[in-house]
Amino acid sequence: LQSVKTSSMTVRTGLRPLTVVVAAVAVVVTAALAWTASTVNRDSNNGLLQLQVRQAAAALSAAVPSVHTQLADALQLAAATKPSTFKHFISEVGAEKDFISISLWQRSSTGAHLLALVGTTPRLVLDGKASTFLSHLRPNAQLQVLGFLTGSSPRLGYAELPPGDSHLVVYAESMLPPTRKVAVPRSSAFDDLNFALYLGRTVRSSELVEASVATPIQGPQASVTVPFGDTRITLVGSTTTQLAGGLSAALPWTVLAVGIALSLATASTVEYVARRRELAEQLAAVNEELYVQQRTIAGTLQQALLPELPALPAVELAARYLPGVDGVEVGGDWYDVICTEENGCVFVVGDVSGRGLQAAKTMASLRYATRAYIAQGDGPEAVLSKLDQLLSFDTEHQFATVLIGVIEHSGDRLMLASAGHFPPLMVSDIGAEFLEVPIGTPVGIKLAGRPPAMSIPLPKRVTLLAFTDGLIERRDEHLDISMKRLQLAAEPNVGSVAEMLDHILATLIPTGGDDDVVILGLRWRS
Amino acid sequence: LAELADTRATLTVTESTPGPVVVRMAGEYDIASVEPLEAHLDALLRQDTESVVIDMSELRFMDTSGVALLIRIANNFGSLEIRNASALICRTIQALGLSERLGMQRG
Repeated sequence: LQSVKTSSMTVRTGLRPLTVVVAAVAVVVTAALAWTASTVNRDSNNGLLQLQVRQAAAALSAAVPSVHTQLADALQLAAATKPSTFKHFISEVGAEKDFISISLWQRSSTGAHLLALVGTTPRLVLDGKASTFLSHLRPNAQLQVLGFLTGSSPRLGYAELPPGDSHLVVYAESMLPPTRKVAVPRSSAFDDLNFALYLGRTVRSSELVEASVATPIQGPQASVTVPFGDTRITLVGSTTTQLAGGLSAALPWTVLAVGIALSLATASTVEYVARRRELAEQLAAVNEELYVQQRTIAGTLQQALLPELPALPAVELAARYLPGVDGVEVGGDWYDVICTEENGCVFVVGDVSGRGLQAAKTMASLRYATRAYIAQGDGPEAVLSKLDQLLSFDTEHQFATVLIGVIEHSGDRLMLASAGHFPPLMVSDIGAEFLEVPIGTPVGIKLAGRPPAMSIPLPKRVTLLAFTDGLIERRDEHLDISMKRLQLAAEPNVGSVAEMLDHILATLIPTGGDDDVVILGLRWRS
Repeated sequence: LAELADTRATLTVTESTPGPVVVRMAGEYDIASVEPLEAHLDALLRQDTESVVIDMSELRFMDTSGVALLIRIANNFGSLEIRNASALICRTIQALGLSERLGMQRG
């Protein structure tokens, strides 16, 4: 039995398919959640960046009209008064101001000549392009951005012409940082914004006005184009910090880490449960196998301990033994039929208390001892007294109920002795009745003496049924009722003895009994 | 006796001097429920008394395992008396031919 247990109780290694599926699903869900969190974080960062860039652009475009107004005002004043007063109205000129140079020019068909100058000499003049350049300007009542002027330090040139057919023009230059690099003040509302300004609508390094970082700007960015005189300025911004906050940035990674941890935990739980279940299933299968084996062993042993009934010309015999339905153990029930010259035909039915091998062992010794005493010619009463010497309740904690019946040779007298056993049922043509046998103590219980065996006349063609308690007893039922049930099931006295037994068993215990059952039937042929 | 509250069978020993030791058997005595009573039974069997009275007024059921327990008590003491056994239990003991041996009175 042990080999069955050890050989088949193996749990195969490797992951169960269910575990793999669960882990895969969990990882996919985790990845999806992390991706969603990441997307949300990126979107909100982008949205906030766009908002910041737009705000920066708004601040920028708010500054543009002041440049325009400043130059337009100076131009109007110069036109209304005389060019020499121009200087008095221009104050905002210098390295740290908007403009480094502002000048007033008189245009004619041949060119343009300088009327007044505030600040440094314009780069345009130094390049020798001023006259040609300024005379070709078309008035459009806007700040005209002339573009980059290269030199020792880059500059941006602007011109302002009054509306209508005026000959005056204001020309201004502003200085750009030498490397086009500016720093955003720490306390500024935009101190976490990296930006680059380009002249025009497109981002080209040749059009870079200024930037707070190296250009072109890398990574997530937003850009806004704002009007700047007769052209436009494109503001490109990116950010160095998580605008949506650290928590939002950490969320995808948190989701990923927690999700993977949960996936692993879930997968290992599934694996554990699956393995336990496999073990349990195997254990159940092994138990089932052992149970069947044990039942078979018990049944085989019991059958081996019970006799084959002799074929007798004068007596029709049949017996049935049924192991208890949940019984995997051997029991202590037995029957026997011994026919001798002196005694006639002796039948024995007995039941050793308890179950298992101990009960079966006691049963076997009592059965063979009974046979021996009967063979010696002992009567039923003497046999029971001798059996009392073989079994001691005080040492073995067992007792046995035994019924011994002797049918004399003539077949018309019956002797009965009972040691705590049910009396036999006699089924005749007029009905079934229990024979009233004086009942002594069970074998194994010490008591002064045994009641004498009862001898009664035996009617012709009756069937005697002897049995053990398993046939009739029901829990919580009075024995008289149990016996009455057998009485009814045994009628009428027709058919073979074997047929009667089968009918009784089918009626009383159709699905088998809890306890072992023995029933023995005898009918004297006349 | 709280520890026995959830078992199906109980065996309670009450000593009273002078007089017999009174054993109260209650519940259902069968092969499964009798075994846990072994310790209680041993304690009872060690009692230094000649006479024991068994009160079965609360005993609902008894099979041969219970009968075996009764026999052990009967064999251990000089005098045994069973009181208040139900008709069902009386009949079980009677069928085994043990009424006299176990000192049974209907009641």
